[in-house]
Amino acid sequence: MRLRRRPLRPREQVLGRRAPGDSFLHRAPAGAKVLVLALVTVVVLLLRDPLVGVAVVGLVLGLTLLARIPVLMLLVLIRRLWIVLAVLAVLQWILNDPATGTEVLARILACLLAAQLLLLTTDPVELVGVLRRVLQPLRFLGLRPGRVALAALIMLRAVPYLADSFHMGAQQARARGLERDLRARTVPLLLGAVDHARNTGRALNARGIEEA
Amino acid sequence: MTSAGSVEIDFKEVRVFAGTRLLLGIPQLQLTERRISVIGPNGGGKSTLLQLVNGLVEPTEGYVRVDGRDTIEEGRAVRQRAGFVFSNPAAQLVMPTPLEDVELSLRRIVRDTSARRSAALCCLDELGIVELAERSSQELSSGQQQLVALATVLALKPQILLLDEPTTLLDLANAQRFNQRVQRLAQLHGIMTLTATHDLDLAARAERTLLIDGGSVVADGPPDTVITAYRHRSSV
Repeated sequence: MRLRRRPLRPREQVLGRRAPGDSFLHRAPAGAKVLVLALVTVVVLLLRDPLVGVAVVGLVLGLTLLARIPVLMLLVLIRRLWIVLAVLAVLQWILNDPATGTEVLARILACLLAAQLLLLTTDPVELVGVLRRVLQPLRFLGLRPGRVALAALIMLRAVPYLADSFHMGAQQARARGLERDLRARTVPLLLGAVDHARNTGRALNARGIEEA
Repeated sequence: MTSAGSVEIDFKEVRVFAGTRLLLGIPQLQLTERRISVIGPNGGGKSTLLQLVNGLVEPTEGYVRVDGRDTIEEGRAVRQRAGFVFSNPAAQLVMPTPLEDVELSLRRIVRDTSARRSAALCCLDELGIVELAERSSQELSSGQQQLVALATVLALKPQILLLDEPTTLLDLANAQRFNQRVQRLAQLHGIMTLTATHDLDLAARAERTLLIDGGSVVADGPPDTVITAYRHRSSV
C-alpha cells in the first residue's frame, strides 16, 4: 500500500508574525519606524506621481533585502489581497485611464508594503506603546491613552483565540457533515467571541484593571 | 499579614433576578470559615453566589457585605480584598507575558517600576512559576495559564479568594498542582477560600460546604453530609 503524505498545514497568522532576525530594522525603535511610515504614506498620497509609488515599492524591497527578511513574507500580503487590488485596478482602468490605474495601484502597493515591513520587524506590544504615546496629547479631551492601549492589547490577544475558534467551528461543522452550511460554521464562532469578550471583561473587572 | 479569622461575608435578603427569572435567593447567610466549598448542578447558582461576593453581580434586592463593606457601594474596595479566579484561563490574561500581567495587577498599588517588577517576580516565585515569567502567555499550557491567573490575583494580597471551577478545564496533574498551591498559600497568608467545584474530593476538603440548586442554598454544613445530600439529589 502506498503511503499517503498530507502534511498538516500550519495555521496562517495575520498579526504578530515577525520576520526572523535581528537586523537594523528589527532593532530600530518602534516610534521612529511608525514616524517614517507615516511620513512615507503622506508623501505617497500627496505627490500624485506614479514614479513616487514605484520608487517607494523599490525602497521597501531594498530595505527588506538589506535586513535579510525573506521577501516572500512581505509579498504574501499581496496574495491575500490580490482580489481587492485587481478589482481596484480594473475599475480604474475602465473609469479613468491606464495611467491613473497604474498610479493608484502603485500608491496603494507602496503604502501596504511599507506597513507590512513595519509589522514584520516590530513587536506588536511595542506598537501599542507607541499608540499610547501618540495619544498622550489628547488627554485634555478626556481621552485615557491607557484605556486605548488596554483595548489594543486585548484585541491582539483575541486574534489567535478567534482564529482557533474559527478553526474549531469548522471542524465541528465537518464532524456533523455541515461543512457547506454557513450558519453551522459562523454561529458558534460568534457566540464564542461574545462569550470570550464577556469573560475577559469580567476578569478585568474582578482585578480592578481599567487601563494598561 | 491579615488573619482570615476576621473576614466575614454576610448575605441579607438577597435575591438576584435575570429579567423576571430568579437566579438566586439567599435570605440569610454568614460565611466565616477559612475553607468553604460550593457544589451543585450546572446553572444552579454557584457562579452567581461567588460573583455576588466581589460585586461582579449586583443583588437585585438585599445586601451583600464583606467585612461590613457593601459590595456595590464600596465595590472597588471589596474587589481589592476579594480576588477571583475563573475557570477559563485564556480569558483572564491580557498581557503578552506572565510577568507583565502580574505587574499590571500591581500597577495601582506599587508606583515604583523596579519595586513592582520585584514584587511580581516574588509572587510568581511563590507559586513556583518564576521560570515562566518572560514566556509568551499564549503559548503556556492551560495549567500554567491558570497558575498565572492565580498569581495576578494573589499579587494583590487578598483576604478572600473566590475560585469559580478553577480546575474544570485542567487535567488531573495540573488540577492537583493548582489546588495544592492554593491551599498552601491560603494557609500561609491566612486567605479565606470560597471554591465552586464539581470535584467532590476537593469539596470534601473544606470546613463547610454549601449545596446550591435551583437558585437557593438547599444544604449547608459539614462537607460529608452535604455531599451525601448532593449525591442523593442527583441520582437518576
